[in-house]
Amino acid sequence: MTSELPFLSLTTLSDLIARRQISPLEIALAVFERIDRYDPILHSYITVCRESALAAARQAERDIAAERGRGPLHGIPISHKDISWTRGVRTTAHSRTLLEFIPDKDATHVRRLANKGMILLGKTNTTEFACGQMEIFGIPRNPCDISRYTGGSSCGSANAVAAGLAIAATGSDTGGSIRVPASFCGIVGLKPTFGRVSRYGVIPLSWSMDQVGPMTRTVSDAALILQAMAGYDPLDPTTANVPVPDFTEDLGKGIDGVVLGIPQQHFFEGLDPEVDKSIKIALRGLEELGARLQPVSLPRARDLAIIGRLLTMAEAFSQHAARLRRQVADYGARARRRIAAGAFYLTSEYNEATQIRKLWIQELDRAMRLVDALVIPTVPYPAFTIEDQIAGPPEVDRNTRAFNLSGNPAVSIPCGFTMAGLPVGMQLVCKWFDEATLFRIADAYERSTEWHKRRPPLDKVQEDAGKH
Amino acid sequence: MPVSIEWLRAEAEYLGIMLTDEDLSAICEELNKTRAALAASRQTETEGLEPPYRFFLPQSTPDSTTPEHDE
Repeated sequence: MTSELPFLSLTTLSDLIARRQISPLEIALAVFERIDRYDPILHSYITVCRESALAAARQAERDIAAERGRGPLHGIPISHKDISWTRGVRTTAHSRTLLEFIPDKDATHVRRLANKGMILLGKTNTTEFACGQMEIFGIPRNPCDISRYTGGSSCGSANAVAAGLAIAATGSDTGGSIRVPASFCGIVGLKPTFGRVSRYGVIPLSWSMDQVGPMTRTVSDAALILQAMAGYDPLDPTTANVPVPDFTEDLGKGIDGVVLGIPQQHFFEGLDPEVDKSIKIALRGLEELGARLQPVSLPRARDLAIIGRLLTMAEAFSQHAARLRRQVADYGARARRRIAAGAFYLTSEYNEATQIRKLWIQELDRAMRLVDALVIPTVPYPAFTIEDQIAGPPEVDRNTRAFNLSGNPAVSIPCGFTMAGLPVGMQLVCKWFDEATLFRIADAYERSTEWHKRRPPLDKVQEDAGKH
Repeated sequence: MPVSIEWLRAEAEYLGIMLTDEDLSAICEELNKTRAALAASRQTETEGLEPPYRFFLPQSTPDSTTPEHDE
């Protein structure tokens, strides 16, 4: 049973805790056993909080036994991407400039999950400032093939959840940094609507596109975590003062009659043949569940990737300007060059990119009125090699950045595997603040497949580790 | 007109950021790629294309209170 615990869904674990069949301490110990064994290979974590997590697990056990339970998340471990402030625990953003930074506050989403009784397991690996290289704590490896990269920048959260080194995790997404690693590692990764989740205490990249979201093994787990994270925060003026619905209410209701938009431009172009095949099978599966597929026209999608990167880096520079002046040599080359590039765009260029952004938002709004959701491959190809990541990774945001520009909620869920065993991800996009529909559709698809139950060949991970 | 490394070097000095020649070369390439993409997407009419206000103001429920195209 112990070896199974790290692969059970949060929902299942929560139920077992409630029925006193397992304890929070057992869960934490089982995950730590796995971290000890596989993290030296997978590089999921920058900081592991063993002692405090075990103490918190024991306390959770006492509280639950004394009928002081705080709900379904109580006693469940959570791991946070190492750009989220965690009080008393270093938060490095994988940067030499922050190796000694120990926040005296939690990020809002960290605090909200802690208030629900979640136990901080550790801080997961990330690319430097969510846009650079990984030169200090190792490059996270894809547990499905350790010669391959996880995708980033929420790389450690993705491979930890996929490999049972975390029950659930949070990540951040500016151009695809939750969805791409979720796709490459075969898990669920949600970028909520812009403004749904507070970014207070999250080291920023782009003030108009960053979002924080859950990374989990199942859709219902993601819904539970978002439920606790979401909501207006006076500490983050970009959070929306809108009601937070019950994201789990529509789970299990099926998708009969749901209209799914299939963009006719850009998103389905240049697909790896195995990704193409998996997506086509998934679309047929959605139709068999009762959904209707409808073509939608989104010609502006082709303009967006570079525009999005201009906006991201211009905004990133405004956040990093002072630190760059003081410590430019402490930045890794990739982060330094990407962020500094943002300093040199003309105001007219930034504004022009913003105008193109507005036209995209209007075009997408018109299309979204005709459908309940869009269905798109998350990334046109499966995970690439670690060597390619080091040399200069291929574009991975081709299908994801568009929805950071628009702010729509988007989730990646596993929809197949290549012949070589690499996961393929399918992305669903809904209207603003309609995460409930997103979860409903994703959940219906997940219930009809077994992709989320597949585990990486971890014995092979240890065997292959000797070769890499 | 493409960005030149000399211009970048002067701007970096003005901004107080010490960048290496390799940094400037990589940035130059990125900027010129972006400028080419912007030129390819350039609009013939720009009047009225104001920023999307969604990203500036706290949001109310979009469907009930946001007039169509009120960005």
